[in-house]
Amino acid sequence: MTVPIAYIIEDDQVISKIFDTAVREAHYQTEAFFDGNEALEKLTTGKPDLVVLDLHLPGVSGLQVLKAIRSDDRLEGTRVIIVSADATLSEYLRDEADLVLIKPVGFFQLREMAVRMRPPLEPS
Amino acid sequence: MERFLFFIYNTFDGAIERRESKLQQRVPLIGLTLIVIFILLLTASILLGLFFWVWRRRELPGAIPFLILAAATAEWSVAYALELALPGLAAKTLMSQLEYIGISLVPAAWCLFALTYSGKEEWSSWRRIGLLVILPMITIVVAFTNNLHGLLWSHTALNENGPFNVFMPVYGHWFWINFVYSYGLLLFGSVVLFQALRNNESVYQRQFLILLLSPILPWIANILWVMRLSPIPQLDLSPFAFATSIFIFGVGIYKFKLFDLLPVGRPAMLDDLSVVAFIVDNKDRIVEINRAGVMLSGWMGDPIGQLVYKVFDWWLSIGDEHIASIELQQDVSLTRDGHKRFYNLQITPNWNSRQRLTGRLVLLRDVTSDKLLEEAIALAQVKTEFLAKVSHELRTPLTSIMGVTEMLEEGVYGAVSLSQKEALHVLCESAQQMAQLVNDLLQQARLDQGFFNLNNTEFYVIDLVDRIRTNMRRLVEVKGLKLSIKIDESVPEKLYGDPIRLYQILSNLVENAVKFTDKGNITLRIYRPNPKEWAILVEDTGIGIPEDMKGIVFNAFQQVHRADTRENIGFGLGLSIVKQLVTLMGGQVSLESEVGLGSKFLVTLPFEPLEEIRA
Repeated sequence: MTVPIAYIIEDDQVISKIFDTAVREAHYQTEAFFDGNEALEKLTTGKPDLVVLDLHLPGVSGLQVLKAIRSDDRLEGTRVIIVSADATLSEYLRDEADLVLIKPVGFFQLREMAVRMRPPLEPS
Repeated sequence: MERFLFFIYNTFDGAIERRESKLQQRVPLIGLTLIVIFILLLTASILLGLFFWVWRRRELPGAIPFLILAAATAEWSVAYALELALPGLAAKTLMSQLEYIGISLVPAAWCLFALTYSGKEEWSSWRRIGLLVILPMITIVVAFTNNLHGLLWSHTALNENGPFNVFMPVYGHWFWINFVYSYGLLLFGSVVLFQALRNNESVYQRQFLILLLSPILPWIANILWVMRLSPIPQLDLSPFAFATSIFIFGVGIYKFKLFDLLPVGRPAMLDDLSVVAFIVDNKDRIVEINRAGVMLSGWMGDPIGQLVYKVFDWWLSIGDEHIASIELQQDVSLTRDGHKRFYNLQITPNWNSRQRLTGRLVLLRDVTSDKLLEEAIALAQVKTEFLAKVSHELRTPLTSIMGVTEMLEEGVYGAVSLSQKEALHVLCESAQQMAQLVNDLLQQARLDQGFFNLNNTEFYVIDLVDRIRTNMRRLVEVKGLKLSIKIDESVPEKLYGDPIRLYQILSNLVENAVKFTDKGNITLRIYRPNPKEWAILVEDTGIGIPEDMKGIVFNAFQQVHRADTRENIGFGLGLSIVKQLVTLMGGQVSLESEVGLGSKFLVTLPFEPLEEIRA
């Protein structure tokens, strides 16, 4: 059984650490990105199962990252949780993302959501 | 009076005799008589043409008296032509009598025309017209019955000495009564017309000139005739003068549309406007001002004729370059009685044909309420933006606080004791409350601003309820309460509405219930009270709401105080937001509560069948 992969795209170091821990506790293998460019670059080759995405990022915005994921057929199975402090913008993206969480998002909440988003186990 | 008339009588009689003696050698000139007759008949036909032309426009102000005036003058001209044409005293006397129909009616008609044309509408009543024509009617009767009493002409004779063979009577008493009355009316009418025209000097210059000429001509002719100073002796120029005057009016009517442009009717109409309107001439004097303008100026007495900057002290502050000549429209603020008011100022200059500035029309529209509304909207916008910014900025550190605290509690950073765990719990809860406050503030700001739209769509009821169950679980468990959720079978799987706002309503109601309940249950029930509605019921076993507080729980920034714990959580926005959202959705929210037993909040919303929406 392969361990699902999650990208944590969040510029705040402390919050990134919290999200990273929560998602790891949900049994994902995680990788953290602190700006949009970095994440986009990695997304050209990587194939994460879950992306935890902040919207306001330095460089390329979270919105562009989301568009990139949704327009890439290779990333069809990738699930996106938007975690943002921007309540207005987030509401517009409810249909684009698999889940929208408005900050403050707690450790427990994200962990539970990450568990729910885990891909179904492939029969071995 | 009689003595005075007698004096005039003698004076004029003397004058007549003196001139007659000088003219005794002359013989009648047939050719000249024919020319005069021709001119008189031509005049009469032009007047009749004018009569029919105005007849089609008889609903215009001043038209009816004008028609009488034209007809009377035409009649006078024709009768005068016949008097000159027919031989013998009897025929000339009869024609002179006929002339009196026109002669006696012309001054009354002229006076009526001046009054109605000047906007003195009350003079167009038949009673007043009747009063004016009583004396002329008597004069006509007197003229035709003169043989019996000699009141008009005490002696009738022919004067065959001059170039014309004319009827030359000696005037009786009634002649002078009619004379004074007629001149009185002519004078009165002319004064009224002059006054009306003077007020419009700067705006209707051409019309003014035309109308100025007209009343002067009959005056000149009459004075010449009565003083026996006529350039053609024994020829009364009055009918010509009246005809010319009427003809000038006719041109005015035809060419300059005088009847369409009632000079005094306009200011009268302006008086009814709430807009301040006034006209300033090229010497900065106010020549016309409406009632609103007088009110604004606060000027004691009549502002007409005053210098504009004396009446309106703000005039000088507008700036010379604007006032000088260009068309201007700008917003100005004026302080009246200590209150600042905003006006939209419009100045329209008026030039004459030689490109000289003759005056300016000034309009001031009070836009204070528009301006205040604009400012209020801008302020609300700033408020919302500020709150959005604040809530955004608060969310990030709150995430850190909540996340780290929960991680500590979970033992991610190492084992924690039970008491430490409890302390961390308090931290978590406080962070949650703060998050809710931030949400409420932003929501309230958006609702306040009024541009809040519902995004209605189909949604699964179970999804909505699941989110509540998941997100509220911790909140409920922390207080040792139980949350039970029931969805009645009558509720379809999918409903139509705004799921985000419905979640907000549900979570606010449940949070409110948790906040005021220390032990027992919180029940959330979704059902259909009737086929046209669906309902959300949130019931708790909390402290309840006292009767006197029930009215205010839905008000923003008000909440029930918990005397027992001195706890006073939140801004009291939760229920206010519920109420506003429910109202926006076309539903209702009601409350039942008993102190010590608990509260029931019932939200009823219109049920919209999905088949109809899809169809």
